[in-house]
Amino acid sequence: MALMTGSEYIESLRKLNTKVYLFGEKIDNWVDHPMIRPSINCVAITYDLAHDPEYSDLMTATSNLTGKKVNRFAHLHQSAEDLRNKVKMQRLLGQKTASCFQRCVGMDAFNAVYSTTYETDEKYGTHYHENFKKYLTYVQENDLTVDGAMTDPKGDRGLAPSKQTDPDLFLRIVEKRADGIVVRGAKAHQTGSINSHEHLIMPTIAMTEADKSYAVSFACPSDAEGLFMIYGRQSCDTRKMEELADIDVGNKQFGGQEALVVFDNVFIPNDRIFLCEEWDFAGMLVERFAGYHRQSYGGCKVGVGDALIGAAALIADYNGAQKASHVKDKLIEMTHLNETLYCCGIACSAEGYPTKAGNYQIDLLLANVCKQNVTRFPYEIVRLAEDIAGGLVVTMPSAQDFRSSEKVPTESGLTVGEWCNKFFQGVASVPTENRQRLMRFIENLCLGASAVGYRTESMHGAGSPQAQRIMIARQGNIEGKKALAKKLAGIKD
Amino acid sequence: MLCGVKFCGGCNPRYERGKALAAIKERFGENLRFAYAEEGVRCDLLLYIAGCVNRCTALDAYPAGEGVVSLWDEESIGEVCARMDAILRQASRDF
Ligand SMILES: Cc1cc2nc3c(=O)[nH]c(=O)nc-3n(C[C@H](O)[C@H](O)[C@H](O)COP(=O)(O)OP(=O)(O)OC[C@H]3O[C@@H](n4cnc5c(N)ncnc54)[C@H](O)[C@@H]3O)c2cc1C
Ligand code: SF4
Repeated sequence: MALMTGSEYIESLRKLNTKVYLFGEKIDNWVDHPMIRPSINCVAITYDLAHDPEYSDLMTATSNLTGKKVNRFAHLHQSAEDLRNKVKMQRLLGQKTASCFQRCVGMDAFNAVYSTTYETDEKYGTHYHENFKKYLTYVQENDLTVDGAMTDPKGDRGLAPSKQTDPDLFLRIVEKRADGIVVRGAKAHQTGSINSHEHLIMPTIAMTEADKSYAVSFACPSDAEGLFMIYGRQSCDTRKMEELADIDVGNKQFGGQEALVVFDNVFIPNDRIFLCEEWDFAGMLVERFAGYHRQSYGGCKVGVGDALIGAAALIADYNGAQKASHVKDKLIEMTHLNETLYCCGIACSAEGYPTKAGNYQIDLLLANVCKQNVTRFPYEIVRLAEDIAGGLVVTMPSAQDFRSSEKVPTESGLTVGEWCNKFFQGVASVPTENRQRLMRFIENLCLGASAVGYRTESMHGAGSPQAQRIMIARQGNIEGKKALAKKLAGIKD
Repeated sequence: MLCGVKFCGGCNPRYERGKALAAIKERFGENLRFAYAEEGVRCDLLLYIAGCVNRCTALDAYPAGEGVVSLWDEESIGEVCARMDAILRQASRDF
């Protein structure tokens, strides 16, 4: 099958029997649901741009498995250049959507599972790598979107999987059969899960032998028997269902999506299993997936940052504050922070190296530094954007008020809409509606639905800040640095 | 004469590459045929439109008989057209 277009992708979702719950009810036509559809549009653009000559160079790559052209989101990185192109593609998509376009988790999972299965087979004589190659060929040939699912609900954070009061709080194998396994548990915070054709499951932490039934990796269709999803609500999400959503949502076309994905005894056939009780490889898989995903943020968040910096500069124009030196300086600071993140994304890619399986791995230390900065800089960029925009970002009346023809019974006899348009204008030559739209766009990114992707995902996605600090400590070569200091200071012992 | 057009991937272009192509096409009118370059398909001249000075696309897979002309900023459209013009004139003399 050739690369899908965005509309073919959307139609392909309709053919799935994905079970989605939202506000306590099963949603049958979730593809057209106004709260879900913007996130589907976001994934659709990853398909459309692959056909666009202006972007296809980044959006596609040649598969090492089939020799055919595939969407880069289904590609195994074959060089450091591929790793850099991945980051560039993510920046591009962040710019186009100002949202989380969701398809990265799958790409990062493919690359982590590919190299880990190779090394697991080497030690245990298993056939996971062949299983995975066949699976990925199927994904590439059908141009599928796959959710890379790692994070378990985790219950008591102080306890190992096998020590939890409820054993389902980490996803586990509950039965081993001749033809496959049965799994039970859940994956939390799953980005784009509802919009994915398939799920690729990985363990969430390094494990000991006592936890071996939790050391499991596999793939299954999103509409597998026993699998369902409960949609994660976002700040201001019900605005998407309002009549004048076009203005008040801030970004009507695009958005992100997370869900809780529940596996209530789901059967997984042998050829879709990529790890099954080899507990000593759980850590490798986690580290590699997290590493790739920490690199990803050096692209996607930068693209979203570009859109926010643009909005901040534009609102300064609309407010008539664009000439103020502190405003110019704040825009410089925002750009500096944003490009620093990009530097990190590019650096950990440029220093990439081949794994034993042949696909390329990022430099882990630099990827962790990248993500550590991502846990901070978008927050500062948001702070500066809110500073430049002014308080209207959070105090402006609704779009209905601006359109209202209800007369206010005072001397002037103006309508509510006329009052709004009179008092919410900035620079007189700029239509008030433009200012209104832009304020809402900034609100959307700073504290509305897209803040899920731009702020909190920057904090916790791909691991909370402490997870990176542990990796930085491990990779930072402090002993080597001590030796440098000793030598330079003339210390001999 | 066929001019193959290859865009970079457009991660962070500093100008509108599509508009630049439209301007170049207009400048040459009927004198030059334009088509998107395809891997392994030979064109007479390759016009590479990059979004920035990085020019990060590998062009090895796009063979071009009379060479490659690259554009990476808006200001150079005139200069690029002049270079394409020179190649065009040279090629017609060679015939
Ligand atoms: C928007 C968004 C999208 C995401 N998308 C995906 C996805 O697509 N796929 C996926 O697999 N995951 C996804 N994640 C999950 C993400 O990886 C987790 O949020 C992250 O690992 C943190 O886990 P948690 O949210 O359970 O927080 P917690 O683990 O509860 O962390 C909260 C705090 O407690 C600390 N803490 C937790 N446990 C310990 C401990 N044992 N010792 C010391 N301190 C501890 C943490 O460092 C942190 O400071 C997403 C998250 C978000 C917010
Ligand atoms: S040439 Fe510049 S804009 Fe184009 S893909 Fe490369 S780095 Fe991005």
